[in-house]
Amino acid sequence: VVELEMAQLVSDVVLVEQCQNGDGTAFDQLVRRYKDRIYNIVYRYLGNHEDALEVAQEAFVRAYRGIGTFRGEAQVYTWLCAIAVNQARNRLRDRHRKGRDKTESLDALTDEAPGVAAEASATYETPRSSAQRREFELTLQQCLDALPELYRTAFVLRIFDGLSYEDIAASTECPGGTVKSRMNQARKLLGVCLKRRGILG
Amino acid sequence: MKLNCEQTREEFSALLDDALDEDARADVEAHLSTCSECLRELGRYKKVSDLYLRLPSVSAPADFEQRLARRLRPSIVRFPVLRRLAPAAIAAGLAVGVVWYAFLAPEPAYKAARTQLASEKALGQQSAPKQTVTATPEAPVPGELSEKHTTLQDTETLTALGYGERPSQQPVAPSPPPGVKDSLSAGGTSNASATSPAPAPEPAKPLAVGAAGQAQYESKAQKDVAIMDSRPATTAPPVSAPIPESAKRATTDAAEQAQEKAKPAAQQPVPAVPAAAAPSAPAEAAPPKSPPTAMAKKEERVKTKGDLPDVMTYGYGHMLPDGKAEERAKRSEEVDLGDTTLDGVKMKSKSGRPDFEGPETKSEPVRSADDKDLKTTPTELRILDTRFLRDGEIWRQETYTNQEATPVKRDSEEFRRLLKKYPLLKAVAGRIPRAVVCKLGDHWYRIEPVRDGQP
Repeated sequence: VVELEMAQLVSDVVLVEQCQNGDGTAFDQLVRRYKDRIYNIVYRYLGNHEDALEVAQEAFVRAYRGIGTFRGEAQVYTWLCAIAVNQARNRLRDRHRKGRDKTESLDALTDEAPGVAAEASATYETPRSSAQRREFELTLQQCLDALPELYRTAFVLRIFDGLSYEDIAASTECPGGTVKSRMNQARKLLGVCLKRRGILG
Repeated sequence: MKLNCEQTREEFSALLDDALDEDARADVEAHLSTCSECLRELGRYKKVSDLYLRLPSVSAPADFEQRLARRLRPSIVRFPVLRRLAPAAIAAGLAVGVVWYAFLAPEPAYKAARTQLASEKALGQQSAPKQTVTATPEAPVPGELSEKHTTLQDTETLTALGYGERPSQQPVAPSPPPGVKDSLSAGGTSNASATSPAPAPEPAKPLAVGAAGQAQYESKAQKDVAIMDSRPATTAPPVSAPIPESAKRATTDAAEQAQEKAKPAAQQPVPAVPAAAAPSAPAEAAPPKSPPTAMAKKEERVKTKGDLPDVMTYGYGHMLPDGKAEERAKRSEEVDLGDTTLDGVKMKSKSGRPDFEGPETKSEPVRSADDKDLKTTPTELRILDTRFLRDGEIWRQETYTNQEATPVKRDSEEFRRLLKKYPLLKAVAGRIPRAVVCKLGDHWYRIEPVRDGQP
């Protein structure tokens, strides 16, 4: 596994060098390699496909434009991640500014009668019917959307992308201890939200 | 180190995420073995992340790479080497065009025409165009030239250069301006005469432009030809015999009447009078599909120009490195290609006078303006980062695959409602006057002209 990871790492660096030498196809390969991961984290961060697509695209565009400045101190993916997270945050702030963001804050979430999803998941199982599953996923996403930005970033990168605390720290430019604290806060607040929504007992 | 409950809980996420070193882990586990409350709390933390881990991974859309490629294109922008060479390439293209125009194009006839014009002026002849067309072997094929000018004519620039008025004293066909005018005639619409009264007797003004104006005009014409050099020329209709003065007058009168009718409602099509049919029955020869009036076209053009910044912003315009003015200029010309061909060349100069005047005769059957447009209009447009393809007379969004599309007329309330709601529609409506199928929100709409050829 380590060898594979190393091979990938080397390969990424080589691809970046090729990009820096004007080889556009090398960048295509990087896109192919990471588009789904980047899209996934951006989608979970923003909660809708429309914004996710735009932000993920913009992230790659910026990566392409800035690839000349990539010096190889960071991993390529971490670097891409940092760009994507920054773009996603900007989008989030834009939404707030334009009043487009309809997500509730965690504080504003009120206790609600357990819905279909809650009933299905009260036993801590993923609902089976598609309607239940949709509502279940929607509720999870809503709680995630209500999470403060910094906590959300750490949580998304860890849970949906499996980044280590070190990589999260590199992507978000903060100390490792801060990541730990943010992850803790994220879990705590999400626990409260899910409990209010009847998903957690 | 012995931890209390609070300290232990601070480490929960790190414990669950395997981010604790051996010692810290041992400390946490030691506390948990004695504190059931913390153990339960740890369970809650774990459940939270376990629930989220069950959410499916979301993949990028299938066309993600294509979309991205479109944003990163053109290749000239993608590759630094090409990017550096771009200005030189454009300059080289212009140079080739200039050389072509100077040495290979039928310039002699054009100049001969001017000489003739000047001598006529000197003799005090009025602006009534003389219809003697001398189709010398070297004479430019009007249709060919007209196609070129049709696709790239910049009316405002021409007008600014004093070219707008030129046709009024430009009776001879072989020169580029009549060439453009030829296309008007070929379009089956007496455009020039239909959209404006007969040339006003201001014969001296254009000439006052003098040598400088002439040089400017020639330079502009050369540039146009150079830029258009790569575009396919359509078959050129041969220049034919002169038109009797009476026929010309009849045509003009009919056109004046038509224009008077058209004035109150700019959207009304002007009954077109094909110059080719002028001698017998000019007014009856209106083609089935009349193009919009010059005024309407102008408005459309203005709108389109207004869209350009958006295209640049949302498209790859922002990718252009600083100082790439040539590239921008080139792109704006590319955009203009679509506009001008959609517009046709039937636009008035700023003075309200047609840019090209004087009927021409053609032995070839009159083509409709739409036919001409179809041949010269691009088959692909990019509007607000969305690609549109032309299918005959209908444009469709690239992603359209015969889904059900709600028809919406451009003069309907629904259209106005959609226009307010969707910036894409606004941009599309400004760029494409024909029927266009596009997706607004979750639905497909077929935006239809008010009538054929009338946006």
